[in-house]
Amino acid sequence: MSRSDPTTATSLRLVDRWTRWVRGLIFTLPAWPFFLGIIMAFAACACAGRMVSERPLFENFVRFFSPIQPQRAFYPTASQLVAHVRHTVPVTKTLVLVGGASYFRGTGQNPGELWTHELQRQLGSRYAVVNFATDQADLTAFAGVVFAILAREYPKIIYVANGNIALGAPVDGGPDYRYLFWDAYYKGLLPPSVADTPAVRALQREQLLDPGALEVHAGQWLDQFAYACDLWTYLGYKNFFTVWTDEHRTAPFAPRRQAREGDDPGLLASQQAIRRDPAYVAHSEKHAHRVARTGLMLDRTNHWVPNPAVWTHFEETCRTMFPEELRPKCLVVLLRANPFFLQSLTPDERRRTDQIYRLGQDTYERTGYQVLPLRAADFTADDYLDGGHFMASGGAKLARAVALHLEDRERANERALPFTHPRGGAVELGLMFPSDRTPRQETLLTVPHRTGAETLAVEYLRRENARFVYQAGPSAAPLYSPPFSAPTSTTLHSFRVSLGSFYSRTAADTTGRLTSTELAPLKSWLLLHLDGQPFWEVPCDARETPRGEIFLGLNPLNPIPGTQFTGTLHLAERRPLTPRSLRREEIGGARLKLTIDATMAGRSFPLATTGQPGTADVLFVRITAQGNAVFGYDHWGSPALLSPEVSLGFGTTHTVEFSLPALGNHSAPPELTVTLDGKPIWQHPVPFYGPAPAHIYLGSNPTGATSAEPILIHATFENVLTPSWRG
Amino acid sequence: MTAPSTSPPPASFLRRLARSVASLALGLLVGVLLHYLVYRFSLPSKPFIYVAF
Repeated sequence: MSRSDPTTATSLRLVDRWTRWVRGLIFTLPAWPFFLGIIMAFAACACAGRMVSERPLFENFVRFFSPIQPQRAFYPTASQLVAHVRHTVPVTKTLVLVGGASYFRGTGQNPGELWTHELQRQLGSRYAVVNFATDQADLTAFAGVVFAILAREYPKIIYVANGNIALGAPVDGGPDYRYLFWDAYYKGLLPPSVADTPAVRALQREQLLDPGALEVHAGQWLDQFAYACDLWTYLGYKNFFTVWTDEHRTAPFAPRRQAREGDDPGLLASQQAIRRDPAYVAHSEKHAHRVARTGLMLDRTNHWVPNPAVWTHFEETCRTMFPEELRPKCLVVLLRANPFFLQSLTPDERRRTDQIYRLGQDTYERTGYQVLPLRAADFTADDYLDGGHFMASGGAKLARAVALHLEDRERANERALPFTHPRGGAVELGLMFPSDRTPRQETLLTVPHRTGAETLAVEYLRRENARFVYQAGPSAAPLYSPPFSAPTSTTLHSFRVSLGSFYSRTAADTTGRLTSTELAPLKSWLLLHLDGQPFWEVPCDARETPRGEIFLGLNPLNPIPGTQFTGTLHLAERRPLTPRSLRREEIGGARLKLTIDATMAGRSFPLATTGQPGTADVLFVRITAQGNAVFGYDHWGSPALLSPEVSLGFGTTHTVEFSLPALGNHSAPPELTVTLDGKPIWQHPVPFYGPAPAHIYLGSNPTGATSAEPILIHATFENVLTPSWRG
Repeated sequence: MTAPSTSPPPASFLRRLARSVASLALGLLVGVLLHYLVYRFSLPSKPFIYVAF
């Protein structure tokens, strides 16, 4: 072809003529209708986008799959995802929103055998399970945004997603899905507790300096006015798709609603092929070895120990991923890898992996999340398609584990008594013990706090007796009450308990309902009345309860089968702040277990202190160099009285009981008594100052009296003895 | 009684009207195109690549 080609010359003339004609036409058109048209069309499109953003988008939605995921240029908006839930799930149901990555999306399971179908079946119609998990999504990404938006509308929402053991997620979900977070952010869909946090503002500032992220912010900022993403995504799904993707080259404009996800008959063959793929096996084993070092470091003795920097950073990230009020509604599932690819792990690596999982679980729990650690022993190699994705059998096991957890949680919530603000007082229960008296422990009451949970349980003993068991935390030594008779399953018992954690930190927080003098003993005692009578009283540490919950009948943080209360609860009430019936001045004495240790030699320890500096009485025990004990009584301003020396010996444990007139044993004449291992060893008339109820201290000496050290060590108080103890 | 005037509008008015309508239609088209450009601008330019192990 050349310039002299007459055909080409004719074509050029034709193009020139048309160009001139079009240019002439356009330039002769009036300007104002043109600009009016632009404004009208843009405004109409924005209105249309706004309208369709509130309509349900998806038809016959089961889960996300490639044609309706970002990997094929389909970017659903936050409004569309939220609208789908609003139109399919009534707010009266418990919404189980499944998020996370392909493990939860159901890669490895055909649509009909999806694990979330099984979860829905097991939970029943009171729950509605929506699977918004999508490939490569972190805990906060994609479904996490929908969760943050809908948590205000669905009072019974639970967000279930897989979590990383030692690595948190960015608050916006990370690069792949941050478009959705900022879409919701600029459209004002996120609650202030998410959008107005320092972490979000810092991330926004940081991303505005990053060209790759800046385009997302610019686009989503513009879209808050244009609603272009909502409209064109809606049209792309319903009518015609406008973005080219190679996978849809044969029908690039076909609406994505026409894409149907069929069954893959070759999943089993894929499973076998993956196991035979040496590159995949090597990759998976390398990953497993790497996991066994995650968050650990070698110390000077060449032992693997937790790396504090990693876990501190992880904990900080956990706190920024979701606000405090949303974290208890997040169930983080810790998945285990396919055992087929873990065969090369050494026993030490397996132990370390378990340790890392525990550290991860502790961190999530400490920051307020619910955690479901899947047990490696519950899954076989055949439950997995590859290194981590579940086949249908594994999905069914996952569904079972999640359903059990949610049902337990629901039972706990039904029995949870929320704290009032200011935090309330004692808890009163009306209960009947079960007819089955097989010796065992059942949880009566659990108070979650930052490092675990305080529990109060009932232990059934032989001959229809029972006793209470208090544990300040999972690793704390249990304290046992005296046994009591609980003869029949038809007797209604009233039970009132007051723990330090039931009360505010300071008297000011009670808005004047309690003075500091009244609050102090309530914060430091377990006080228990049974059937209207003071029954068991022991000193305990005051703990804080960040979630403000008391769970009745079970321990949701450690739901061991067989430990739930199987009796009947007829009444559960919070009592007023000041439990007038719990009168400290009716204490007669106390009983404790004391272990004599070589470190105690030559030292004096307080058993009980009453009063204030200048007007205090102290009962103490002095341990001699030979491991013997001398009890003493120090009436402030008078010489100390001493008991005869008692032979004990280092390494031995003894039961010490004492009563003091200052504690209200009402003896006449006023005298103290000390009993060792059931044998009276000292009885002596003593003077005393009458203490206020707030100034009674068991096992400590805060008055500065020089006869004893500030704190008693190696001792556990078992009970406070009421005046009737003396018989 | 006389019949109302039925004289046709002048040709210049019709031409002006046609040009205004054409201008408006062109404006509408461009407005829709601009809206679509906002959509395309909002899509991440970096493709989402699913990494499967």
